[in-house]
Amino acid sequence: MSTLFTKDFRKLRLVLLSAGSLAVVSLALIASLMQLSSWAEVRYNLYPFREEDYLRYLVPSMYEGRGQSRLLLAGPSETREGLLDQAFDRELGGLQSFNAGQSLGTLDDLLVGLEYIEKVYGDDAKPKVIVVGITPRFVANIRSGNEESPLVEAINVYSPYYRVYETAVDGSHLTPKGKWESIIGRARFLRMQRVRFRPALGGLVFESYSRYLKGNALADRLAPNLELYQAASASPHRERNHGPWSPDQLRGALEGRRSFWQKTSEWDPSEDATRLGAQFTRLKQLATNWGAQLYVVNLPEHPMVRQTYERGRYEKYLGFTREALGDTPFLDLRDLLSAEEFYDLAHPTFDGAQRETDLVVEFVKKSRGGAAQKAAVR
Amino acid sequence: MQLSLVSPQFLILSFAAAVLLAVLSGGMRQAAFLAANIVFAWFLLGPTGTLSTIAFCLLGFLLTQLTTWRPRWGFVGGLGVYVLLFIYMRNYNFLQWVLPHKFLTRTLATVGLSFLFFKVVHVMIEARSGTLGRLEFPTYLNYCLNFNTFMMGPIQRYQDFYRQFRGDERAIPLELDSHIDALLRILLGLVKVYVVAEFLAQFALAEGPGLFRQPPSVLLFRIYAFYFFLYFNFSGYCDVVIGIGSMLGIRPPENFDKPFIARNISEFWQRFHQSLTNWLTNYVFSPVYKWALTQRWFASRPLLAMNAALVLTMVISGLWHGTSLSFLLFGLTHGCYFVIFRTWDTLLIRRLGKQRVRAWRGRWPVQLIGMLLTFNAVAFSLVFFRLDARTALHLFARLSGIQ
Repeated sequence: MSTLFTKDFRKLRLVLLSAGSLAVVSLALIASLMQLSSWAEVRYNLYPFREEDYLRYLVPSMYEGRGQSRLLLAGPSETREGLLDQAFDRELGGLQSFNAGQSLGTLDDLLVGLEYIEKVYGDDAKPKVIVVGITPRFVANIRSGNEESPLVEAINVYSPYYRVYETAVDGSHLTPKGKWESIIGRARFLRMQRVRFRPALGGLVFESYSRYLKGNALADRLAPNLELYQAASASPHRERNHGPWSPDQLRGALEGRRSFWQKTSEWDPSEDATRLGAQFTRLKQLATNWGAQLYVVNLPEHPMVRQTYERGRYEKYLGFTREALGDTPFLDLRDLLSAEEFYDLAHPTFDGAQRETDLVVEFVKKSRGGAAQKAAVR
Repeated sequence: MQLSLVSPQFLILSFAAAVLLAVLSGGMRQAAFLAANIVFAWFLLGPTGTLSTIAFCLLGFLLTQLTTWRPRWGFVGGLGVYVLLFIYMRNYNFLQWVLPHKFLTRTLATVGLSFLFFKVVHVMIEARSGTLGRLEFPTYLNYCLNFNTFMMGPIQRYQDFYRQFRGDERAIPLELDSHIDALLRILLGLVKVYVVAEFLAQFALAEGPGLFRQPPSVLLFRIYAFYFFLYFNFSGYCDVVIGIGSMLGIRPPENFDKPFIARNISEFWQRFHQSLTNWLTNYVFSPVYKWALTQRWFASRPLLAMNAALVLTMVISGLWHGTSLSFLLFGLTHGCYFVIFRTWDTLLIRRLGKQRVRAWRGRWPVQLIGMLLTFNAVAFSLVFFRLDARTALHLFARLSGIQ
């Protein structure tokens, strides 16, 4: 036995002491950077996790205490790219918009996300206005292939508080995690935090420039680049830098066997009517409980996609949706944009997004004005 | 898959290995380290990659034994076989002109193969020279598979590894200060890789449809940015493995020494990827140069012999780095740099004498010019690292105004 172990444990003590010190220093560094990230995200309205937008639900600084004057833009990635949050801020005074449009997002994801906001972040996180952009795919809860919801997976893996379970009719709900699951979730999410640090450091540099270096010739020359970087970090949009797709690429995506476009065009809303009704009722109920104004926008569709639906299916989708929404303000923009105003099958160009946003802003303004009048009359 | 330096697997493995190596002795120590190395290889390479890597090591060991048994033909034959096997496993582009397509495979071109190849060839050559010392199979296997330096080096000498692993030589003193320095080295490396290099990556030269739409000034900036990115990425990685190695008790050699201040190409290679330079100098340049000087035609032309040896060394360096034409061009470029530098150096000394040349080189304007020239020469050569040969040549044509 004595030949198995060394008689001298000095090296072991030094290794444990050093490793322990490294762990403490690293954790302290990470904690500081996370604090900095939270500060920068609130100060400069940053959107972390550019490529994994669903993770933003798990970041407290996105929601905690920010509901008071918030206009929440929610829905799939078409919402994220098509609705320009700055236009909402400009035109709807007193409200600050937050774009929670999610890649491959569905109606079920939206309901889970809103429930997460309510249960984790509390009353101060509940927005005053919710604008939901919908598409047939979003409402049908369809994704590519057999993919799991990235939001549901993220909550199950990373959330320290809840996991998701499915119910029969009105979609998924949250259930609390146990202690051990919670610790593992936190540790896992800690590894994801690195992505937040660079924009946060950019925010710190910008703040330092604004407070101490404005007027300095060299700093002023570098400032435009810093402002550009800040503007990019404060933008939720990520697809617009790509060039427009060629007709062949569009056709290929539309006709691809594993793409969601095929599934969506084959979806029969009448077979899903009960679920649709239950989920929209849940959405309306949630908005009522929060005291939030709810607006629903049927987002523009690419002309090529419009042609794929079987006869009458799209009209059924609109019909069931309007019926389920009842008197919730609803705007249909399906035919708004031409093919040149999309850069792929789903996401509008900047010009297209501007046109779309202008109409939605007007719609929200009018609806709010109408609602205020009604309230005054009562 | 390349394991990240901050992945839980790598960190837990490093910590566990450091504890085990500090606690265990004798055969259990060998076995524990080997287990850690194999677990790492399994995570990194998968089952097929791990098996092929171990088989590659085993063959290297057998050929080394053959070398010691039959120093002459065993060495030539064994080394030849091993080089050919490496070329095949690495799947060099030119193999498609030599072998039928059905015989070619990328499965065996695993991460770390080039470094492993150089380690084994070093063992073979040293064993033949009788300078290896004792070659124990478990230590040899641990030397080859050492998870800390497996992916990207530095290339450690077997003798250094052996002495440190056995405890004949301390990697670092058994003091708290040294261990704190080691962990600070790890932190510094992580900052270089995950903060500085990642920041530079967004500006660095990269293939893409918009590459040639950018003005020459932007392309130049991106070339420089790539050089800095490469340095911070690679040197940061080396800092981490040197820090971890210090904790393990098997410290790899230093690999970088401020390469940006190199005043000529020779000094650059003494400051950049030092372990590779040492390997190439000991096992390619020196033997080839010595052999050339024994040949009648070269004996009267020592400068030509040196230049030929340098070009060959840099071509091998280029081919070791990658399998495509662009890496060959990288090697040839540096070979040309060496030829220019050595020829210029020799002519200058012949004309002015050594003392005057030394005094002239000591002046700061001359040193500054040397640094700028070397910096640019290296930065431009690294374009071949990043782009394929055709794109790289187009880029140079654009920068020079031809296109």
